[in-house]
Amino acid sequence: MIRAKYIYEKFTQDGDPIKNMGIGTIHELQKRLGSDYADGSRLASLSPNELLITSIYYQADIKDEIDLGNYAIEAGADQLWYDTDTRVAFPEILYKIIKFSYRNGEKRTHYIPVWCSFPKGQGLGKEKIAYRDEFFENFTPIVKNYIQDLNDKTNAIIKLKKAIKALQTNITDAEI
Amino acid sequence: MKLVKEHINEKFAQDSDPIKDLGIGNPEKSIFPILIKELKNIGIHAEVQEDESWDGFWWIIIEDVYDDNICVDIQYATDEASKKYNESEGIDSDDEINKGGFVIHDEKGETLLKPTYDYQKVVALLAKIKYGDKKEINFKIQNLQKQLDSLKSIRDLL
Repeated sequence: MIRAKYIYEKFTQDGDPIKNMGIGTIHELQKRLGSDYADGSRLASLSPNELLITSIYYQADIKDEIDLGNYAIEAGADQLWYDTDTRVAFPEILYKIIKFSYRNGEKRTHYIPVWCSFPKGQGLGKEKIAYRDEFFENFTPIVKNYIQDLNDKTNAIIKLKKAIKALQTNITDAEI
Repeated sequence: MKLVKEHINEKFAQDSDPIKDLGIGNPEKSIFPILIKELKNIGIHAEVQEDESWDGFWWIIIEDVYDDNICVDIQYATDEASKKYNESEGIDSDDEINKGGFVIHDEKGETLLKPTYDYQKVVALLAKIKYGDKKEINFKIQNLQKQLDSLKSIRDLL
């Protein structure tokens, strides 16, 4: 939560969250930032086999009711688009997804099955709130999956340790 | 000690056959539950089925046999049942079937474990078939531990 608070502070202090979220693995994104686009968007690109999220766009200078701009996330061939109508939640989630994808060697291929489209610069509305809810809804299984993964690996280690203990019972050649 | 004695006396008073009641001599009440529990501890799910053809014979069925790559037949027989079987089939008295206990054969019928009442040997053999030797298991543990540490490090950051 301290991290999330830090991200939140960075997010609100500066106009360009992606640029300023240079902490932990997100710093890697910053290193790979592509050139600025004419419309103010930025591209952070990573190769598909390295990371779930292959690109993140941030459109910084859109002057409408979302003056923070819009985010769009792509995950390989699948696209995850997300509108930053919640300042706090999105960086937290983004951080979690990236950390998750970076550090877990076995789980780099799964993606968040969310599709959400919106015209550039369009303001907040019920539709976007629905997209946000959909995002959370689809993110939950990933968290559950992660917890399950933790538990499965812990249990597997326990079983293997017990298997080693079982092997202490010698079977002599005469018994075979 | 007093409490224990009272408990035993209670048992004896209630049942005319305390040995039977305590499950001694009955593998379904004594040895099978322990074996199944021990196998479960190492991730092998087993069930016991009574042999319909022969009294005193049981099969230990390993579930998900293909997933576990454990293709073995595990049979249990009492001494008495083995002897009867031996006599009816005219098998030499020195043959393994003449003795009771657990017997394990592979899919080709080769004996992997001669008759023994030591269920721990059954567990040890199945553990080796499923996971390999100690060196292999230790390697698997190390790999899993690395992955687990990595996962935990994320959890700590969230």
